Amino acid sequence: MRQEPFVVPGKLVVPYRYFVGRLASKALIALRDDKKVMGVRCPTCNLTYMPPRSTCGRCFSKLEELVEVGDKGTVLTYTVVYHKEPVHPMEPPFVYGLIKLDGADTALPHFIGEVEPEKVSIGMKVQAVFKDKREGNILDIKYFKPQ
Amino acid sequence: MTEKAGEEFLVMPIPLELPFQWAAGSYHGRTLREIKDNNRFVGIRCPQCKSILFPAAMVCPLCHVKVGEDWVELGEKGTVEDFAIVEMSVLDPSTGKERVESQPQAVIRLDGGAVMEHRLEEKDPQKLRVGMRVEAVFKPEGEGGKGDLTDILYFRTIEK
Amino acid sequence: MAERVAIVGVGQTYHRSRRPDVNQVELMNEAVRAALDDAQLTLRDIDAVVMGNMELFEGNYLVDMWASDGIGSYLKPGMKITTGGTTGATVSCAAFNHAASGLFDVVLAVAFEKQDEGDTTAGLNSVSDPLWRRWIATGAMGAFARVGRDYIRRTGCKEEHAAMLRVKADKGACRNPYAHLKLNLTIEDVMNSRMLMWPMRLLHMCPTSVGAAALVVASEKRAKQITKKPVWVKDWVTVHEESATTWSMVRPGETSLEKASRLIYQRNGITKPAEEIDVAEIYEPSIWGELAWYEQYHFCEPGEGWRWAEKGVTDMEGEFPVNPSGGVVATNPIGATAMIRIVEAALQVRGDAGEHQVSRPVRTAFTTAWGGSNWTVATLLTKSL
Repeated sequence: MRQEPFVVPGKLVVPYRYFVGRLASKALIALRDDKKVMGVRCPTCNLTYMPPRSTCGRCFSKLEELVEVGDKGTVLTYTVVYHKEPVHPMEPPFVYGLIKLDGADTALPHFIGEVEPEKVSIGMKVQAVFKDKREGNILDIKYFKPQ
Repeated sequence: MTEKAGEEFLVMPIPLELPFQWAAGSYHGRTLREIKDNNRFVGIRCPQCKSILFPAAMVCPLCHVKVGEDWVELGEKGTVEDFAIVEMSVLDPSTGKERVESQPQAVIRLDGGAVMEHRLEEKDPQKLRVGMRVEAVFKPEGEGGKGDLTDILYFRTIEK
Repeated sequence: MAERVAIVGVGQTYHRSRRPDVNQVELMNEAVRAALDDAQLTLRDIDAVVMGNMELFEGNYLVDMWASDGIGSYLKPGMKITTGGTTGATVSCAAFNHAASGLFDVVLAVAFEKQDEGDTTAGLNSVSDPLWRRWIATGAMGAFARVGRDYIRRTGCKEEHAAMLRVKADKGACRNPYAHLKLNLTIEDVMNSRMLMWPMRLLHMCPTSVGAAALVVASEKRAKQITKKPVWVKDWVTVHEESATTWSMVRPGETSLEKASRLIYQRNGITKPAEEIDVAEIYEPSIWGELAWYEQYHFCEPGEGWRWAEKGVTDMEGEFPVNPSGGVVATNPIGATAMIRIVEAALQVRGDAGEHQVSRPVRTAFTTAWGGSNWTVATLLTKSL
C-alpha cells in the first residue's frame, strides 16, 4: 500500500549564551567603553591577532598582551550580497569585507558601508564607524566606511 | 581559575530557533497516520522473532531482517508497567519553554503486545499502581490531531 | 593490534557550575596544558589531536573548527567525536586507536563541556526521537528514575542504600581537589533532598558541571622514553544497543553494559572481576545507576548491589573500591566525564591520586562510560604489560 510520505514540522528552540572569557572581555569592554579596537600580540611569533585569542595557534604560547590595533585598515577582499535570505542581518545589497586593521596581522570579517557596492575595491582604506549605544560585542562597530 | 572581585566578564545571549521537517518514513508514517486518522495503534510483527514493533519499523532491531507487511492492531487498552509523578519541570526544546508534567507519566503495555510511554489521567498517588488497567483517550474530533502521540490526551483508568 | 599503547599524561580542570572567566576554547586549553605538563612534553611532541563534546549543551556546532589554537591542533591531523555521555571515552578510544595503528606515536585527546552556556535537559531532550519521545522526555532524570524504580521492585532495595552510596561518593569528592560538589553529606541530607520523580531525589543526580579533561597517549616505544610510569591501556571496547529496542522496551537478552564488560573480561582472562580488578571508575550520572549497575558489570550477583552498599564493599578503603574520585554524581562536565573516569583510573594505577588513592594496591583498573542511545565503553588499564 503506497501512501504519501508522512512529514511532521517541528522546531528546535533553546536559549544559549556564550562566555567570551577574560581576555576577549577586556578587549570588548575597551571597544564598548572607549571605542578602542584591541588585538593581542604573540611576542614569540611577533604577530598581532584580531580578533584576540588567548593561545597562539602557531607556537602555543599563552597570549595576554592586548594592544590597540586602531580603527583604520585595508580591505583584503570583499563580496557584495544581492539576494535576500532570512539569515542576513540587513537588506541587500550590502557588502561583507575582510579588513586588516593597521595594527593587526590578521583580518576581521565585517560590513563595509557608506559606499556604493560597485565602488568597493581590494586595497581600499577604511575606517570603523561605531554605534552610539554599544553593548560589548563586535557589532559595536556598525561597519567600516572609506577613509 | 581566579576571578578578581569586580572583574567584568561578558556573556553573549544566543537564542537558537531552527525549523525542521521530520520525515517519518513509510513504516513509522503508517503508525502515525493510523493514530491521526483512525485513533488506533498499529504495529508490525517481525517474521523471525515475532516481536511486535511499535512504532512499526522496516527492519527488526533484534533480528536485522526486513519485517514485511504483517500489520497488527494493538487495541487501545493496556496495563501500566511503570509510572512516575514528575515533581520538576523541564525545558522543552520543541518550544523553548518550561514544560510542567502535571499528569503522571507511565509505561503502558498495550493488550496487543507493544509498549508505549504516555501520561495517566489519574493523579491521586493512592490510586496509582503497577498493573492497573487503562485505555487511551484521544483528542475529540476537530481538535487538530497532528499525527503524533500528543493526539492521545492520556490513558484513563478502566473501572472494574 | 599493531602497537601497544600507554597513557603518559593526564590533565583536568577544576570543575565548577560556572566559568565566566574562560570561553570554551580556553577551558579546553587548561586541560591540554595540564596533560602536557604531566607528560613533560610540549605541543611539538604531539602527532595528532582528537577532541569531543556534546554540542547540544553549548548550542554551537563544530567547535573544533575554531578551537584549533586552544587545543593545539593547528596544522595537525585529528578528528572530532560526539557520542553523548560516552564522548570522553570514545575520544580516548580514538586516541588509543590512532596510537595503536602505528600511524601516530604520540596523540593528544581532549574533551569538555561548558554547561553554563545552555540548558542540559533541553539538550538531552533534543537527543530523543522528535516524533516519538521528545514531547514526554524528562532528560537523564526520567531515565535514571526508571532504573531506580525497576531496581527497587526487583531486588527489595531501600532508598537508604542509594543514600549510602551517595555519601560514599561525597567522601571521595571531598578528598578530590578537582571534584565539583563537595558537600560533607549525611544519609539524612540525601534522604531529605528534594524529590524530582520517585525515587529520584536532587542529590541522587549529577550536577551540571563546567570542565575539561585531556590525555596524552603514546605507542609502547615512545611511552617508555617519555615516562617511568606509563599506564598501559590493556584493552578497550565499545558496544551499542539498538535504540529502537529501547523505545519499544523490548528487552534484548543482554544490555550494552553487560556485554561490554563481559567482552573485556573474556578477552583478558578475567573471571572474577571484583577480585582481579583493583579499582573501578564507572559512569553513574545518578547514584541509582551505580546501585543497579554493579551487577550489570558482573561485579556482584544480581540483586546483591544494595548489600554491597550496606557492607561498604566499594568504599575507598573497601575490598573493591568504586569511584574513589567521587564519580559522575559529584562531577559531570558531560563531554569530559567519561574521559575523567580514565584520567582518575590512570592516577590510581600510577599511585598519584593523592588523598583519594585507594587503600588496595592498584595493578589493574577498569573504567566505563554510558550514554547516548544506550551504548557502553569499557577500558582496562594496567601497571605492567
